[in-house]
Amino acid sequence: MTKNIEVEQTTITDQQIIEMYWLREERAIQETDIKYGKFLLRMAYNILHDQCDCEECQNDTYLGIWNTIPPTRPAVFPAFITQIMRNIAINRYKEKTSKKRIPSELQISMDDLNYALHSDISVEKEYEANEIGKIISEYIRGLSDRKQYIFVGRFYIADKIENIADELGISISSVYKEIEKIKQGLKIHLERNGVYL
Amino acid sequence: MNKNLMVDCISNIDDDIVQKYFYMRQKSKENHFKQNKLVVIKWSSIVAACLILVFVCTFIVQQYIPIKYELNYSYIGANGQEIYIPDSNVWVYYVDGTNVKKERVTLPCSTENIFITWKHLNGIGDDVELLECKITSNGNEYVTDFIGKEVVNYDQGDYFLFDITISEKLKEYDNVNYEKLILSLKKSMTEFSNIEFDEINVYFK
Repeated sequence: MTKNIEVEQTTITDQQIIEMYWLREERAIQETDIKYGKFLLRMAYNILHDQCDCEECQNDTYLGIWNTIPPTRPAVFPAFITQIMRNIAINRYKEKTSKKRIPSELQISMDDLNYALHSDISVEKEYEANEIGKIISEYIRGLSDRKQYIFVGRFYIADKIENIADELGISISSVYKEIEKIKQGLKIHLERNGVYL
Repeated sequence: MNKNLMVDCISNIDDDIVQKYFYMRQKSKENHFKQNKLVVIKWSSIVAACLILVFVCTFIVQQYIPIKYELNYSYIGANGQEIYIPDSNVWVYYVDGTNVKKERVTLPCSTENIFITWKHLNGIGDDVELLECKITSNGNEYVTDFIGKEVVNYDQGDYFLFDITISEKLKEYDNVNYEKLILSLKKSMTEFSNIEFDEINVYFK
């Protein structure tokens, strides 16, 4: 005999989840997983291209969030957890790429960006990644909302072109065209700021 | 450029840009939901409108569809030639419960065909037949003499009678409102003509 079990689905807000972390309720992790688990996993997979690594990264991310909240009270919760996940995944990515090349979306997107920005002139030592990050941020702010979305989606989240196109409701070819323009614009912007790559 | 350096550079973009991305992502999802909802509403409305149109058209067309009973499309004239009966739109009356209702039908317009249609609408079987249908008036025909020749004259009447004779078997139908049934027969059999009858009689034989 089978029983029909009704699963009550409630939409819990980000603020409620943060509050749970503050109250040290373990349910906070469960709710985070329900709401953002798939997204985090997808993002990790885009970077690492390995299911086992992704799951480990996801668990590390939940632990990271647990250890960071409190004292942090993130303004935009998904952005906050994405940053944690990305840092963890990137570290793992670096470990792996030092040994071999992995066919992930991040690898493809970075190859793409690198090809456009490739030059024989080496980076000046005084420019730290942090400073270049600020210049890139400045460039992104000058872009239209759509281009900003594509930039972050493709190069930060390492999302697939198809997903970005779907989310924006535009064609894949339009996203490719926009990425091409972004790359050219970024190259010019960096050079203007004395960053010759 | 060192690939890892580029990854680090991108990782160092300002928080507000990433936050804006998620804000836009949320908006995009909401818009998608709204758009999907609008699409569903739009298509539902179109389908509903089409269905209503189909129902209305069916109803209208049904009013004018020629009835496919065994009607007589011609009759043999006095000279032995076959004469075709032209189609007309006529009202045929029938009893629905306690009410007399009417239906527009296209048929070869003759009293016989109207009677067949009336039977069909009232659920009367073929055992009931139209035996005779006669129009009489107080008009008078007389012969006079005009310069030694006989001339037939006719005085137009002002009192018209319509006598319908049908099979007595109609009385055997118990489940009908008899009074209303006769009324519907009288209306059906006389309304198509332009004559205003002073008296309509139904006889059984």
